[in-house]
Amino acid sequence: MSKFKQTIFIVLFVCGIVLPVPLWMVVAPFFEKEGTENRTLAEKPVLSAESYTEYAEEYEAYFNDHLPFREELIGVESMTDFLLFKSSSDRVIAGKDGWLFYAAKNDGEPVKNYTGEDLLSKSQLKSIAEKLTKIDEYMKSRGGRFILFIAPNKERVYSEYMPDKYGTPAEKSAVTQLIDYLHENTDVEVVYCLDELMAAKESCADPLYYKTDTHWNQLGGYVGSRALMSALDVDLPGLGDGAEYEVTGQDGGDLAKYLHLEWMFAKADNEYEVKAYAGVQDERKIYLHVDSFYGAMLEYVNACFENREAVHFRNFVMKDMLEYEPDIFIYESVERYLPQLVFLDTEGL
Amino acid sequence: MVFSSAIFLWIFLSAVFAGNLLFGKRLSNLFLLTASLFFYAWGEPVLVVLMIFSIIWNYLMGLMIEAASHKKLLLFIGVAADLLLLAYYKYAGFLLRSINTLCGTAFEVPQIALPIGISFFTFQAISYIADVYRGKVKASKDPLPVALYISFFPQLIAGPIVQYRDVERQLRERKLSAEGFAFGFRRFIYGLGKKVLIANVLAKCADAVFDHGAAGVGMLPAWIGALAYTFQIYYDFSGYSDMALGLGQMFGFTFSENFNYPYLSKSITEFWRRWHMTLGAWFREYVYIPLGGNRKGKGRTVANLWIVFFLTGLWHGADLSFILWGLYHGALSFVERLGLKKLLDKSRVLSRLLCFIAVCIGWVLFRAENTAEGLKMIAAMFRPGTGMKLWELGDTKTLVIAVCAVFGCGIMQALVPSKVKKRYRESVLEALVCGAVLFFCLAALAGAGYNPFIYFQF
Repeated sequence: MSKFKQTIFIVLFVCGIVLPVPLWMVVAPFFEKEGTENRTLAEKPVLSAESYTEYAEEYEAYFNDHLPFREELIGVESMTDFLLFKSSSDRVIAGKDGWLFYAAKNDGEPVKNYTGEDLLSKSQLKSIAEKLTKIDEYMKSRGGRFILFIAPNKERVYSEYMPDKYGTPAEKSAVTQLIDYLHENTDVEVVYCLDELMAAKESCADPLYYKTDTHWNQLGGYVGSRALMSALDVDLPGLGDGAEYEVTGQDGGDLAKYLHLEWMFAKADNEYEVKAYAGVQDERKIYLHVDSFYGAMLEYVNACFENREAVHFRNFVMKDMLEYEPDIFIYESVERYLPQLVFLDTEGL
Repeated sequence: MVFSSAIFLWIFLSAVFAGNLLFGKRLSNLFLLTASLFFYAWGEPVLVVLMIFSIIWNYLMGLMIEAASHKKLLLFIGVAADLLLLAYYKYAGFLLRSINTLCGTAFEVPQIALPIGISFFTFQAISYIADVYRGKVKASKDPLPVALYISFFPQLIAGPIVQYRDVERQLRERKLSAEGFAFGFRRFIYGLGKKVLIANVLAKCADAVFDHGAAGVGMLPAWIGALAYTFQIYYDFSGYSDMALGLGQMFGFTFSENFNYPYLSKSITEFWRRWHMTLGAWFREYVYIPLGGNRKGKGRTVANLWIVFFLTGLWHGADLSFILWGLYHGALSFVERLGLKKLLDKSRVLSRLLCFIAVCIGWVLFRAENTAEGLKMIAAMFRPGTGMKLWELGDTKTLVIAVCAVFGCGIMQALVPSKVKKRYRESVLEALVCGAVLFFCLAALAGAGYNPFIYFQF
């Protein structure tokens, strides 16, 4: 091997193998450490007689979580996978035209919702129907109303951007199954705003969901809110037909974060502001069980209802709702979280 | 500790290489031995004593065999102890389970943890005392070379199985050179790339199929899973061997080759001269030839071959599926001996295709959870029908890597003219390519975190 080539390998060894750890010890403070993993990173273990057998494993876990240039290296891998292979991580599907979709298996199962492999069992349907009926009867007995509000998964509305291999969204999946079952066996009111979104998609030039985020944007949130308000006999103007909007900035979403490619998608999505809708101050008291999809609905609901309280499902306790004594109770859920209904706390009803 | 891990690359290798340079020739063996024991203890904090025991035992046995007159008896005791250790840790559970199944007994089957690399260092240790017995090497009075031979970290966990006589001189005197280092590091990078960029990607596909199980898997997915595993195990194991040989070279050692493009084989007989060559060599040297090899008549030769294939299968794992896998290869070898091989050698493409398919089917048995699952999966490969969706098996990346894997397993190497190969191997471009491979491997390791080798159960 030529001397020059030998030198290259020596340099590679020094730079790639020897330098990273000592170099990192010097420059680490200058690198921003942003946790995108939503988990606690492993801690440095202490060597002692008791910890002897686990020490190696724990130390390695610690080292892997605190690798020199870890974020940068992960970013390189994500970028290569995405740009070279149009490939996603386990959590993100790289769709067409820069659209990203959620592929999680432990945060709801959106892909299964899409392919229709998420069907609920008879006992699950029965259990959900029973719980919802309890709530419905309680509210009705006090002259109030209860609505189950379902926000569709993004891939249902923008299925044309899903990779071809997933096909078209299944005709029958958990959401249609549940709605049909409730319709046939209960009096529970369900608002599933898929049709409204599809109609708005036709008439509106801008997207209703973020391209690089799992959620709907302010426009989609408005359409959903309008559908909900309509069921509550509150009229809101249609998007672009009384309710105008404008772009207020650009952003990248949570899916871009999961890909470690925030920098690449930093301006991928528009943020909007919907203006000039005639907010009606309804005097009824409204209580909502919500998830993160409510974020884009909050403003509009607040503008229509003076007396309101929205509680995230992580903090939801039925007793609190009962204490509030609302005239309207809304259970808002994105499609992929519907199975959680099986675990709904109905204590006190 | 796994070679394809950040902690090995950035802490262990870095420190050990620097240390080896600093300590100089005289202390090198001692330093490397300490590093190797640390390396082993990292993975086996308690059972490292087994290896230390094995070193002391075989070192003493070597001296005794050479000095004493009852050489054969001493050899027998030495080897028996080595094998008993292996048998207990690896096969006791399997043995008891089998006795229970065959005799209807209900002995309690103990859960014995398998110490990493025990199959490898046991075989190396046996190689030492056997060679001393035969007079092929002199027993080492200095314990250091024997200790380092048995425990040297590059080949401790998954080979290649080095015979003592092949490294004896290198243990006493070896030179470190920039050129040797560069050759070694180049080889190491190729091995790392094979493991991290190819094997690990294909593993996801193979795992998806085998985790799903044979029931309702579908014919095409079953084949895809089988093929994915076929290439996964090749790139994983040969990549590991590349890393082992590369590391050895970086420290001034030359070990024997372990792979020679096995999927280019025209027959199973040829396959075993290209796959895991050092294991084949060990069995030939210490089992086949002592049993008489092919010098005791046709019948005995055939019996010897069956024994070797049985043991090869058994060596790979304490389960019936491994034994059957070994015997499956034995059966194919046997048929080849009867005349099929002559036929196969005549063709150029068809024989390679058939051999490849035969090996692929064998790997299904090897990979599956157990014998029943393996046989069911093989059946699924020949039963028309759909099952798993293709998008569950992988994506564009998997496909691209798979294509690279197929071409890289020997086809490209065979088709590219040797002049071009030579130019590339001598070019500066190759060094830059290696740099890129190293970089992307480091990025992949950062992204992955968890990275076991297939052969870790040995």
